Amino acid sequence: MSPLRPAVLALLLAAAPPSESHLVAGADAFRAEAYEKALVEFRVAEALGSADASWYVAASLLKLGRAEDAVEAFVLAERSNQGGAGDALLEVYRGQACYAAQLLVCADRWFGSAEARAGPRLAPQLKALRSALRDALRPEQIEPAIDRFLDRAAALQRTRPALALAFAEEAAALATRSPERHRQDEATALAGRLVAAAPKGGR
Amino acid sequence: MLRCAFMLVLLLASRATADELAPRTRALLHEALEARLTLPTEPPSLQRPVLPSSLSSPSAADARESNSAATQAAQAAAANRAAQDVANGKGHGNGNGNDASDSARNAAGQARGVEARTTGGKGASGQGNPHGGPPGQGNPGNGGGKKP
Repeated sequence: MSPLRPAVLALLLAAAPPSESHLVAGADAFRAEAYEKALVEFRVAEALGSADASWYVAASLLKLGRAEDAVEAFVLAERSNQGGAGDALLEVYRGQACYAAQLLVCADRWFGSAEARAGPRLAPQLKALRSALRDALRPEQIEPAIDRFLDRAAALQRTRPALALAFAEEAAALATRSPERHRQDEATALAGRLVAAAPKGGR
Repeated sequence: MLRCAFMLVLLLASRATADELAPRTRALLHEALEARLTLPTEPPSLQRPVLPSSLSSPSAADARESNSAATQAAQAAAANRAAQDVANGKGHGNGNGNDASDSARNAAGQARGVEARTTGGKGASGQGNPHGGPPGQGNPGNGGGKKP
């Protein structure tokens, strides 16, 4: 074996995945509140095959004020990989995306999931937020919200099915809290169709 | 022949780890998210948000959707170009003397330019966190690991 071979082998073994540097750059930018730069870096990492980058794309979108895009990105991230699933911090960000998009049941779900594992400083804040969310689900506002979310889901189901699914699931969840079960069957059926049509394990 | 097969296996093995984040990278990502975590302060509401009159017209909404779509398309294209460059091994052999990382960064720069144009040149840091953040809650500082 030539003397170069061990060096080549060592390089091969030590080579970081090409997406790694972009993830690091994205993390630095995120920390510096340069969310547009972070988004681009995470997108590049995602395109280079990083299974985890999608979660951070979603978090960056949230920080850029693009709540619905963030909700959609979280759905896609969950669908395409499980890398960030179960990370309480990402669940808080996901809950915030839902909160900002007025998907309050969705927000409560993710804040609740994170609360169980949150530290002593964050857990009470999440608990207070969840209490406010429950108070906000006023019976007289539920039916108009269901109508609104179902309209959005129907409008988006072909172009942005992941976002449509989030709206349909919210409508279905709200319908269970409606005294009349307002459009529950319709919402459940639409959510079911969108889940069935979703690509498995990839984007 | 055997040597080639061995090299190929090693190459594949190194690529197979692409899905696994290095612990340091994971820690950096976690710290960044934790450092910038701010919880919403506005009370939640199911009511339809009232948009400013200048943005509430359907055409303005269409324009926003269009901008968003254009931005996403530009970013996706930039990311795809970067990925393609890396996949093709461009960089040292592209005649420009750039490496694949340069290509990715160039593409990222183009995407940033599009993003800046579609957002009117405002950076996110200029807009701040759209959800605000309660004083003193900027960083919950719950330590590392999986707990936020």
